[in-house]
Amino acid sequence: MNKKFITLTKILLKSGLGTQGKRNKSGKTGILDRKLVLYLIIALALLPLVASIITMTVSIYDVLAQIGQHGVIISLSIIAISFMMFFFGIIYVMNVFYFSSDIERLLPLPLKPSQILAAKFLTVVFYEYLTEMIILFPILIAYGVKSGEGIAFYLISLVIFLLVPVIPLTMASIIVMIIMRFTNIGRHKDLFKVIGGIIGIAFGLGINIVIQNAVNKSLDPKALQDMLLSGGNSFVGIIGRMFPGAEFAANSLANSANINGLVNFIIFVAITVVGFLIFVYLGEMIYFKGVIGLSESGGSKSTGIEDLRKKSIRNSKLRSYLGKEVKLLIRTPIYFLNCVLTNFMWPVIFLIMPMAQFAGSNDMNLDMLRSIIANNEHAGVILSAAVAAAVFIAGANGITATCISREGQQLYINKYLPISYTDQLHAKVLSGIIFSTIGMVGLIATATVLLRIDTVIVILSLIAGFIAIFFTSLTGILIDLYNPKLNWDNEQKAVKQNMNVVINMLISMALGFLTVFGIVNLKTDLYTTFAILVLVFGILDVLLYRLLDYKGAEVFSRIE
Amino acid sequence: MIELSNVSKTFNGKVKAVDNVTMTVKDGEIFGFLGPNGAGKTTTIKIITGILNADSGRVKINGYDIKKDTIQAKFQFGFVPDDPNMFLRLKGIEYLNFMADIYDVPSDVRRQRIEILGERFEMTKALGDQIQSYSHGMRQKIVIMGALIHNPPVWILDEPMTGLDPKSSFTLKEMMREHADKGNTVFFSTHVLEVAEKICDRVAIINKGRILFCGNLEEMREHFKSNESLEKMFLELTQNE
Repeated sequence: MNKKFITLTKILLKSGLGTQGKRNKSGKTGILDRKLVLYLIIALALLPLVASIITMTVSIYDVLAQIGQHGVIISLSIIAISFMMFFFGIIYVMNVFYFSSDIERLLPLPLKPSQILAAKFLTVVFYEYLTEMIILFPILIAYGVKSGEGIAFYLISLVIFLLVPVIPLTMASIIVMIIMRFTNIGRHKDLFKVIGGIIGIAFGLGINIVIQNAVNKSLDPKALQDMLLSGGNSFVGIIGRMFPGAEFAANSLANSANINGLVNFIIFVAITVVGFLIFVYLGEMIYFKGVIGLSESGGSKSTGIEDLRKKSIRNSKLRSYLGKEVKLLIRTPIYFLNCVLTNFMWPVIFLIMPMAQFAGSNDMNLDMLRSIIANNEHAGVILSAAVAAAVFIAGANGITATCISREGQQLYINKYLPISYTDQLHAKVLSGIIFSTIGMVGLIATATVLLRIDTVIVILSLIAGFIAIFFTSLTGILIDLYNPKLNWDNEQKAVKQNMNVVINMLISMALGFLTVFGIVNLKTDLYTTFAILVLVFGILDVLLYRLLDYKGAEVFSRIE
Repeated sequence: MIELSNVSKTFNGKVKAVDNVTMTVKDGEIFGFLGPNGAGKTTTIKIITGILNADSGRVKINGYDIKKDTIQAKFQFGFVPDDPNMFLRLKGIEYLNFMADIYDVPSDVRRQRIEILGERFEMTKALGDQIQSYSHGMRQKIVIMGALIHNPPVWILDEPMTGLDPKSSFTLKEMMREHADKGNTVFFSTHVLEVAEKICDRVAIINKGRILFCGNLEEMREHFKSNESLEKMFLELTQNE
């Protein structure tokens, strides 16, 4: 078994986690070089993060060392990283064990389920080392240097570094295997990717808030002590008990100089091994039952004639085409996460997160902000800010800026259908306007509730904002029309790696800035501001719309 | 009826994909468009359907010029492209309704056609699922159904048998015959000579962008015997599959 298992692990590692096997087929050397450059860029980008982790560790160490509690750093960081690995592990494992494209090629080979599983598991562990390198490694080194630990500490650190991912990942794997064995969630691959994406974003935002708070508090040693030490009984404590090995790992490091540390270390290693064996044993029993037939076309709910009749109702061409655009945006996970979901994130990023920070500082509080906003003199500026936000939302979701690019190799379909290019372009602009409007309404509604904005301002903001949304939606489609990115093999490239989105976002940011800047300088009152904004954006909209109608169809017909 | 006159198309200023093609596909006939891989079949079809612009020449479908009366011309035909992977995240029924909306098919007419086509291709049960869950053959079938939903007088099919099981392939051939017998036009491409021999009234053979032969099957066989280069082509076409 061992030889096969090692060979398989090597192959899986080489083919990049096994989830992107298809992409590696073409041009091996070229891609390798580009990958190397990419990794270098990523490493450089992560340096500031590593540096800030080291400084944070050092400053927290100093505070806690005063009361002899510096060991808390180790246990906290091991618990935190275990939790992170468990959390993301669920998504990771689901993708690597069940959804990756290599599964169909592995199943026919004479391999035991446990061999495939163990190899795949090990590849995930290897990739977790990268995360550890960025987060746990600097903490351990900073701690070791600070407290002047001996060689035993570093040896134990090394082993713990290598073994830490195992327990959280076995737990994640076992949960995933049970879910996949006994539910049919596997048939909803797309839905799962979307949920995974949402959880990832939520987690990212959450971490951001926590770190911001921690940074605020680390300026105040007393508050920091309270926070870290009370943690033992609260949330951290509960999570800590969730991972049976974490406590022993931390103890072994904290007591690396004496026999107590060694005992804890042995217990940690033993728990890790047992956890892994349980995982392999369980996998041998249930893995194949969950994974076989996953890619079969599910002749699930056979549709009755009656049902088909009900669904077959005539709609106008424009509405039908718009419906197609909206359905594809919502149902394609990458489009949903990048183009649709972003519209709903702005209230959190623009309002809730800054507020959470205000709550932590004393210089500025919510009441002061509200009274500033309630001041009549600022009404015009607030209106202009709302309009700027609307402009930005429409630019940032990239719906119109990718609407031609997203067609990709299937663009030709639009060429033989008997619907005019102008109608198609209108439907595409409309799809962007719909989602941007939803985003704007969400943002303004949240702001209204949190900041108690006057009803008149709210209504005027919605009207002027709606007019402004047309502008960035139209610039987006014009940019994409003149320079569509059609040659992609993976939807990610159409929206995430598309310069048109960036260009339109920059335009929207510049225009949003100009709007606020202009109104601040003009010092106009609410209604004058409204008139100016509606007039300016109205004229711009009409001009761009005429341009789209005049040139759009012709440009579209020339794209081959 | 499809009329091509002096149609040419050059890629990148060098490769002549279609070279001065003139041919007419008449009403009431099944017309096979034959040629080895890379001969210019798909490019020609893309020019006929308005996907590509020809550098020169004219294409008319039932009298409508594809460049001048674009929308009218597009209403005349139903087109099955060579790649059936489209709208994968729409459900079968949503795709058919999308096509029916685009082709202005009234509700009651489309219901009837969806039922008939669904039954003939044994697809009714799968229509509630997303197309991405379909096998290759099922995708081919749903695309054919979408192309025929508005009962177009002209059928343009690019390698339509690829991926179909024998029964569906037979059904499609049967439908092609019925359609042509009603006085309509069926134009389809293939690189398999045998398929063409079985169902075509007339064929054109294209290689390197030029039409080498156009006529009925009888004439084609005669031609193969007397013309050496065509004989080589014939071998290529028969050995292909």
